[in-house]
Amino acid sequence: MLRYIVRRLLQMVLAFFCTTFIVYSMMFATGDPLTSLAGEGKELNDAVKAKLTRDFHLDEPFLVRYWYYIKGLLTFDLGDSLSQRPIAEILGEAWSYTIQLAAIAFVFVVILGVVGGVIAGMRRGGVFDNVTLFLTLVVIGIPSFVIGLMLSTFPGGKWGWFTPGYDADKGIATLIVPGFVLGALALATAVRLTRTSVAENLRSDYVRTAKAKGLKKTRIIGVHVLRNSLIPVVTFLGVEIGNLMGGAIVTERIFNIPGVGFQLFKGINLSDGPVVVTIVSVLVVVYLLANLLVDILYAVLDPRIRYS
Amino acid sequence: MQVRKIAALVAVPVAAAIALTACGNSGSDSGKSGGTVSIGIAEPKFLTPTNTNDTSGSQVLEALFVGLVDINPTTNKAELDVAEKIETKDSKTWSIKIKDGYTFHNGEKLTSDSFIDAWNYGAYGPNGQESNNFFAKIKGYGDLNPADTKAIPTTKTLAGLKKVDDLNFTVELDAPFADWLSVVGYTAFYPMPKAAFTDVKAYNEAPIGNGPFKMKGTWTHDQKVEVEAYDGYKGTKPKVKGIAFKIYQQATAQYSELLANTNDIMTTIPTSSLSSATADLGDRYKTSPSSSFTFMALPVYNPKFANADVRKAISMAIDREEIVKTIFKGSRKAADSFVSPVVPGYKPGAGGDAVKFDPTKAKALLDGAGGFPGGTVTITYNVDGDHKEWVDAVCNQLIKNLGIKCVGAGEPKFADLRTKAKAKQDIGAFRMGWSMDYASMENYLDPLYGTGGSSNYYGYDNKAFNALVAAGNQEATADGAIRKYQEAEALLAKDVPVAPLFFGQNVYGYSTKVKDVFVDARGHVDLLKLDTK
Repeated sequence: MLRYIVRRLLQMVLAFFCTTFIVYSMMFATGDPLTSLAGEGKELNDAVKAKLTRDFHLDEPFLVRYWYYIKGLLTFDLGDSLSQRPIAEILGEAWSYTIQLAAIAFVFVVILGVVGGVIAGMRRGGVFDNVTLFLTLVVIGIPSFVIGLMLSTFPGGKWGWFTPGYDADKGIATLIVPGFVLGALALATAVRLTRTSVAENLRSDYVRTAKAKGLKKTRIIGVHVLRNSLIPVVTFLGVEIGNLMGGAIVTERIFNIPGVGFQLFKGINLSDGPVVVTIVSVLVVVYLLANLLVDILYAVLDPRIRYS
Repeated sequence: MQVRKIAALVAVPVAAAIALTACGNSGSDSGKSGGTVSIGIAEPKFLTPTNTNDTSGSQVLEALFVGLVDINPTTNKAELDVAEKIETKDSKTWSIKIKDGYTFHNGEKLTSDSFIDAWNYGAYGPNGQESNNFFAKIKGYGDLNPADTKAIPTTKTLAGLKKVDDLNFTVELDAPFADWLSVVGYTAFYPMPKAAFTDVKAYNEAPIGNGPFKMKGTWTHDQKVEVEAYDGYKGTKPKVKGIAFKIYQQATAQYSELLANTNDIMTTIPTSSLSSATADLGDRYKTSPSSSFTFMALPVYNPKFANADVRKAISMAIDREEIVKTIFKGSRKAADSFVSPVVPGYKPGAGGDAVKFDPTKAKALLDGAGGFPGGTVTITYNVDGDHKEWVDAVCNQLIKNLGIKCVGAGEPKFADLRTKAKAKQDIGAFRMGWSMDYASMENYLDPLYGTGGSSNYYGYDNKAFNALVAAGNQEATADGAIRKYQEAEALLAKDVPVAPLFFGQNVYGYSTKVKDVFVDARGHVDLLKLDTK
């Protein structure tokens, strides 16, 4: 097991360097950041151009710039954004929002998804089952930005049911609706996955044996069926953590939450290479770690799986 | 039974969400005058006066600072503010006397040094300030900004700035410039206290100004900047006791918050919400003139557009009113001159025949010039802005009215368009825009049409025009300058280097909690008039 983890960690290092290199070269290829930085506005004056060129080594060749970047990373210096703020500071602030948002989404997915899926799976063909099947189909069919925009415009804006954007004074309460929107797709998928899995396991031999032995229904479902049914769901949830972080780019924009996705979008818009590369690198690490966690959880849930 | 469970499952999280978010709906104190107001802005780039030239940043600075002169929000003329008097005989040397008794928010007295130090800092090349070029007219600027940007300047102070005593100083310009007071009304010319220069980075997070409001805490990036009334302010006091500038990246999010009354003022309602804005906001939906000017460059450098008659024919074949009505829902105005109507000296219809829609004359003119070379006009625009719709409309009109072919070509970003235009590539006609830095005709004429102008990417080069603008600059009075500028504009009407298309308007809205909201030509809310109700 330990050897396995070490091997995976070494692979992660390789994957990390490959991705940063690709992203860095792609940002480099989009052209002169000094012209993009001005957007539709006026061109930067010569003094600003000279300062940025100096600070960001813009007149040096690609490999030299990449070397400066990696050197910074290895010494835990993330550098400054083109708008001259320390990236570590930007990321530090942004992460807290994205993690809160993703956590809320995750809670929705786990609680509603698993509970809904178990109920639907136990009463297959019933009213609840049919209604959830229909609702999840709708959610899967509509892109999350449409759901987000609708919620923000109508119940949020026009009817005033809740604050349509993030508000620091009201804190985490204003993240609940965005969290729901972010988790909606995963929620729908989790319901369907759990439902199928539970329904299948209910027909299996060990359930029949347990019933014949006279075990209580709650114990059959709660211990035996659930544990076996959760294996595919856990895989899905693990991968989904990464997706939730990435999906935040849309949700955070719609609800104006200054998280990682919001900063990433802003960086792309301004061709702010340092910010984009750093955020993408961090997202890559999150993805890799989430995947590793899932693989380890397999072994915990299913003793038949062994890593060597 | 099952139905009830479903209802419960759905209702619990929804109810919880609403209950949690709805509690404490406090954006501003309502029910009386003199409360606090929230204004939506975008994330400013910087909040140091000499380093700020975006609308959002300068809106915040306008609350924190007052300058020598103030630009009147309705007439756009410069009026004395902190300056007691400003005199000049030759438009070259200006003697300035500032009023006694003004202090910065940290108690430091406002003196001539507060201005001189700030301007020197802004003009010093290696500091890389965004407004560096605004000081270019002051004598000695060249010494602080050597042509070789890697060289270290030999001096740190502008030769043209001389302190007489604590309240008097003189400014000498390189060449006479009659409208210089309009320039001084700009954000870059605000004073800075001594404390600013010891740690400029820290100052940028919580600027200490001399204006009607002072910072409340520091700038919370991507969220808000809060200011509160400064008791020691000597000038006209504001009616509200505090302002929260709320930062939005996405206009639709801000619009939702405006409707929900959680943000009080939105200065630019997005085009996508225009059709429902009147119904949503009623009489809280307003428009006012803005300095933005949209036009189509007809690049003189391109052989296809070399003939002035061809350029004029294209400009005449565009029915601007029609596009304004159908695409912009009246949120813009048809352009009829080469400068914005907000600047003193604008003359209605100064664009002459070129801006009057006349399809038959246009067709005749084009036929007389031998048709359009190649038969196909290309109009290049950047796809990251809201331009496709109107470019397509212009194209369709050219097809219909001139009987030529026309295609719209998208570039990913404006920077790409600009790079190609600067390299004088054949990208056909292209979209351009301009907003003023200071309220003077010169700020449109020189950068847009002057030879080597900072935004003249279409190679327009007319010696007579340059001479008239220069002559205007040397006049002793602003009114005299305007007469010369107007003569220069008349030359543009003949040459048609660009087809003026639309004048922008501020399309703004506000919540039920505020009153007396006015947005000026630079897109800033008039903070002194503003009040709660």
